[in-house]
Amino acid sequence: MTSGLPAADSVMVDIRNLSIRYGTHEILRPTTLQVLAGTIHGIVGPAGSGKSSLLRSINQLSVERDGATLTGSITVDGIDVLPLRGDALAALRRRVGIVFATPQPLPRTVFENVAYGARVSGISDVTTLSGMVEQALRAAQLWDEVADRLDLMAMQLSGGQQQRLCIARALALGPSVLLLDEPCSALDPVTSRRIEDTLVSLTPAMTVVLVTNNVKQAERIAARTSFMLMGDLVETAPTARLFADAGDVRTRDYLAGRFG
Amino acid sequence: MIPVPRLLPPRVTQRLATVVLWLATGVTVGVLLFIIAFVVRRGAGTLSWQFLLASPRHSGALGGILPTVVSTIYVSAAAVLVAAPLGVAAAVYLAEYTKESRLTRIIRSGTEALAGIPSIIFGLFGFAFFVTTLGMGWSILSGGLTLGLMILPTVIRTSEEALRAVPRGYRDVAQSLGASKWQSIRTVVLPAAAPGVMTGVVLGIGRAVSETAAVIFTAGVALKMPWSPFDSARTMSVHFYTLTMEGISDDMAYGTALVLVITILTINITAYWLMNRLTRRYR
Repeated sequence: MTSGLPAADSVMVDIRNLSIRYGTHEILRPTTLQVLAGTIHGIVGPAGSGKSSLLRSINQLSVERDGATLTGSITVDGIDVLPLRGDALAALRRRVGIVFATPQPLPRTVFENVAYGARVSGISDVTTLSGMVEQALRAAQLWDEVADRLDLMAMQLSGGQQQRLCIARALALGPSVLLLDEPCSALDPVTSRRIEDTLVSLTPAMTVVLVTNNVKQAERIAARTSFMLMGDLVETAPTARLFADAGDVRTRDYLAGRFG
Repeated sequence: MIPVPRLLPPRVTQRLATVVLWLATGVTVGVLLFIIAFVVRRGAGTLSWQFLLASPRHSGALGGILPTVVSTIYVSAAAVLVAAPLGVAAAVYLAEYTKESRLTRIIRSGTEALAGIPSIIFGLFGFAFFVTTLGMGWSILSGGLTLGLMILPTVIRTSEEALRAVPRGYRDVAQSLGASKWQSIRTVVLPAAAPGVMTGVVLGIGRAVSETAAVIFTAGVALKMPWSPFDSARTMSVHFYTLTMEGISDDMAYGTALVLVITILTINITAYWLMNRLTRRYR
């Protein structure tokens, strides 16, 4: 590899010239980003830089829920995402899980939270569901804490447990990509570490895209990291290099905490 | 003249506020209790199983009120069957399927206007449209449809508010897990909004059960047991009105009023109890 670009077959999420608009307001200027399969990709940057919008566009939630207009292209594992609608979009979302900043359990039991995606996709066999739920809770490292109380209302779990439940819920359908939007912003450092351990354990079987306000978190677990600022993707590099020797002065300033 | 200080000491203000607020609450509850006590005192002498379960004789001067109880249940049930599905569907449309625009503002102010129309106008409309034009005659159907339209705004407004109170994140979560928009509404949003929606329906039932003006023109005043939706029927409220206005029997009138009050209280208490049970699951 002399060009510095990763080989095509190892790219899981391929974003090309993507711009995001809400009405006439362009929140992300044309951006190109490749996320390597089986790694954790960190995205850091100050609030309002377009990180969340970029993340929510990978599964088109920004279009459907926030009314965004996307131009350019996104492919996930070779599938062109932007033209997808209806059942095809639902199928994509089963392959691309997402976890939000605030733990958002549905008003159901622990079991039914994790089984939700499977149920809406038409699976109702209890044995199958139980298997999926257990596997997902184990992957999210929550199984040992909730195994004997799966019928507890999810809201009764602690904040950290709720967020791991949300991870389990996203994992239940066996996605190949997991998107996380500042998953630890509402959690204490110890609980955050547990979530980080969980994310590390998911690779290399899964590709993880982690948007975070916490640059140390990206430094700890991301293989590659992108820095975004006010609607621009400033640069992407292997994490160690980005932190030690960023190409752009804005990146260096931000990572050093000298910003604004 | 005592000089009034421009600013009372906080402790006094606090005291004063407590007293004023307590009084406001006290007056509200007091009026309710007074009305209930009044109706109980006047009607208790008449109340008996015989009164509840017998048919009226001599235009209601003697006998019981069974047909009016049954008529009330039928007419109110018909009203809810009309208003609940229509109202919830309209609320889902307004809260989930449209962006805030000129159209939604027109729909919403139309709904508000509908809520402000006096019930006797609904009665006249029901008479002109259902009874005469559509040829349904004075019937449970005409009365139910008219009452249904009358309580529709209440159901729409409370349901819309309940839907808007459901956290936005629920929809994000459901749709991000592959649910279609309708699936997310059906499986997550509506169940979470159910207690609020039910409050609206219960308020509507209360209005339907106690309504007189809109019913007298549309369901009629026939004092016999209704057997089909096309039969004319006299509800308890209409019966009370007729007994009093035509000077048939004050005792029978207040007996009917007492049953009416008990019915409405029972509906409300049952509904709130049910709601509590339903919402406890989510806390």
